Amino acid sequence: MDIIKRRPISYRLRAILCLTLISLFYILLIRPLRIHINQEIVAPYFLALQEENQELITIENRRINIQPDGYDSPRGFGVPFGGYFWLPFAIFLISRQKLPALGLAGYHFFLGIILPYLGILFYRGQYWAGTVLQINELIFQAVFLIALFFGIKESVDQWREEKELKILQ
Amino acid sequence: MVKASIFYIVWQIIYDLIILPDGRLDHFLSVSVAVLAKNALSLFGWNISALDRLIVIEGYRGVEVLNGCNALTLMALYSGFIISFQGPNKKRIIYLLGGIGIIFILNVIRIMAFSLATVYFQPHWDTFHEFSPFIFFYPFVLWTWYQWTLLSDDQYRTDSGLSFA
Repeated sequence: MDIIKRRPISYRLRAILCLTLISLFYILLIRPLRIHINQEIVAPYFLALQEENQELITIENRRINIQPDGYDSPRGFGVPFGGYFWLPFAIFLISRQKLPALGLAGYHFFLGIILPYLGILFYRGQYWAGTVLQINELIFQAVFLIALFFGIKESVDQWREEKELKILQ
Repeated sequence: MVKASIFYIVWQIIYDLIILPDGRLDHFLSVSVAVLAKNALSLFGWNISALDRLIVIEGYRGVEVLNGCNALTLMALYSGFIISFQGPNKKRIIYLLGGIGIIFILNVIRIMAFSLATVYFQPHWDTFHEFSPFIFFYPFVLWTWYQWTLLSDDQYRTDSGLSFA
């Protein structure tokens, strides 16, 4: 029986392909979908909570802001699975880190459920929920940066290993 | 990661309950960034004025340094990692202070860029603003974290070497 040995795709090519495809996927499908979900599902629900002549809730393309009386700045949340998900996710895919990729996806699913709920609680006067929303903003950025960091670090290590292997061959 | 998360939660609660209502730290960072950006642009010959947090190039739209734009959050994010990740304590202080200082300087450059953007590409200002952390902050933060983990790995190797000796 003949065994066909396929040359594995080079790391650089895999990175370029993955980043390009995911960028296209995000721009063409995910971004409009996020806007649609926010404008057609999340925003109407929140606006329905608001009494007439009240202007506590402001709607952006991919974000809901709530500013009760006495607050200088609004608290709110964005629709998950944005660029802050797809960039580290793409890097995890490139470096074939399944577990962190799944963890990141799980985190964003969790955000998709918990953030609107916290938003509703905050609007209804549970002000601790506003603090949790603020904590989330920071943790969200931290998760993005730390995921990106470990993703890139692993990618660089793998790329170096591949280079060294080539030199040895 | 758990240690970092605890740091971020504690920081955000302190910020929400003490720093934000007090307002002085945010005000200091915002005003000093605005004034330094204005002075730097004046040095390059731009006719620019500053009023509190607002800087305006004559004849163009102004740029206001709001609390969210003074890089305090990023300083906390950066510090959380350096504090949580093991490494030599003396160098940790250098990385913390140096990193925060450089983020401050990068923010001055970013605000200068925002001001110049009102002149050269005002229609794309919002996009530029949205993606500006990827240009000005994130490469520096990721690179410094990387250097810090290298230091941390070195220390770990030295420590394990000593314990086996």
